[in-house]
Amino acid sequence: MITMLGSQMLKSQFPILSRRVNDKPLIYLDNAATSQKPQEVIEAISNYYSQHNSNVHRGAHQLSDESTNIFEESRHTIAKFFVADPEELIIARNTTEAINGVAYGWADNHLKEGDVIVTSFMEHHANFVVWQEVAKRTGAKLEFIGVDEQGRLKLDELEDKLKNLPVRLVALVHVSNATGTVNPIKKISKLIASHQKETPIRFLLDGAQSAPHMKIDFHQLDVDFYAFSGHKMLAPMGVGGLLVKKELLESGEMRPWLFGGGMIFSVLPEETEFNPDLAERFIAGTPDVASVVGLAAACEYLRKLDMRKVEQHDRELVFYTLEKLTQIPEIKIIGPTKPKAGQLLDRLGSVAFLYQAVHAHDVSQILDSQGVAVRSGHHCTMPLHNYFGWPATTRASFSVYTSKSDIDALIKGLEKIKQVFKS
Amino acid sequence: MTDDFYREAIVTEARHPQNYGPLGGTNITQSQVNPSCGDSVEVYVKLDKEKKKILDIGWEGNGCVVSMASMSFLSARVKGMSLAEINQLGPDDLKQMLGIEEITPSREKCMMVGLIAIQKAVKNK
Repeated sequence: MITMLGSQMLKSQFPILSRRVNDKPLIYLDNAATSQKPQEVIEAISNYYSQHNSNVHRGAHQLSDESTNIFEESRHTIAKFFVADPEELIIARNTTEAINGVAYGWADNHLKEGDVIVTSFMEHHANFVVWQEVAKRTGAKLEFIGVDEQGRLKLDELEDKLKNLPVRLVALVHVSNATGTVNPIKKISKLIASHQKETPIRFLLDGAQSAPHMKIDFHQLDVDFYAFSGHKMLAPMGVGGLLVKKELLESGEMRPWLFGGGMIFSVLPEETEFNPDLAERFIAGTPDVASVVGLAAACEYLRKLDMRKVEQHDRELVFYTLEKLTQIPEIKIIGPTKPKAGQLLDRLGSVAFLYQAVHAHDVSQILDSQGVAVRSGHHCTMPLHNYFGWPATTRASFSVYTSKSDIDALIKGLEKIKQVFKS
Repeated sequence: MTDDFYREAIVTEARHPQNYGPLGGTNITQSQVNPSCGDSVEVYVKLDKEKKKILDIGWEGNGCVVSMASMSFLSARVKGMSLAEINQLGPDDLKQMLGIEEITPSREKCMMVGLIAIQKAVKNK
């Protein structure tokens, strides 16, 4: 199909995809947990260590200059990929660390008893437990938005809270890792904007599952914080980022939360002045330069594919998977299956389901025996699973190299479940 | 190895478990979950007068084949056992009950959920 990426050709650029599992070709459908890495990314990391490795911003020698330049260029490439200014990008290990950064660098400094943080039952634990802890530390109150049967946020509950409570932070997931729901961020932004009070309401977006599947324009999204993980978007593990609106950095509303070398301007026994360079202020200690280089290579790889095509490709896979799974009577799909009138289906990245009377762990292990790798469990969304009473779900999730034939292998793999559980 | 778990004997045991359901007149109830995949069990234990031996046991649960079959075999095994003997049970005994030689770390957690529940129960007697 013309709207899909050349997945077979792309597969050949990811070395791991040619290996076998349980003596079967690997069908990797666990991309929401982590994606595989293309040769270009692996080589970028290897090349950095074999040619340029040296500490950044420190030495006055050739290698240090090269390393500093590569690091800065990489930061620029990553920021540009997200349509953010380079100084708006704070490198973090992953989405979880980025959200914790907002907790320590922003929330702890501004929230007080009586303030309200709004999150939802759709959240990954990374955007849930962090706020429980902030609530404990600051005395702020945590409020939750519910989810409807199609896996969509109940926005009337958000509106109600914005109207009636002293909300200071709204922290929501962009694309759910469990239901695949794409939340209507523009609509939510507008809702927040129309309820802004004297003390502003800040908006944080967990972008772990949106960054790999759709074009992110940080300026157009108009959120205050956007957190993402590199490893879910073809980059190495241990690198990701937090995008912060420039005005929050310039005003000092967002403070550094890690202190030490690199992020300082001058250090005296009585007091330390932080680095006036907005980007460097948030780099305490030697950064993981090679991983940042790898993340930049991944951004370049995706930019060349074109994120709009990546999104289209993903939509096709979602449609195809939904179409095939709905033909299996034992399966109940979770998350959106019906588009809202006149709109595209608000779902990306994955399809999770329940298999009647068979536990998700058994489903995934029987699939594994046929070379098909999927995830089973609560996907770090226990509040959502409890909310709907799902003990555990099985999730197939996609990347740029996923093809319809991978989905066919999944469907074929599911047939074996009937044979095993015939009694 | 996967096929080992899904042998008919294990699947049948999980689908038609022994000692399933709540038990009246018990001394202890204990629940246990395996948070990594959502297996959960609740055990009901009846001890002898001296509180040295398990006289009877019932259980309920929700989980994968490995956790349910393991709990089922175990419930049959522990009847009449002394608390000291129960505390000695470990992963190797469960593997033997299931008739498997190897188990992955993630499935071991499933296999152990029932035993942990029983051992906790008798500790809290």
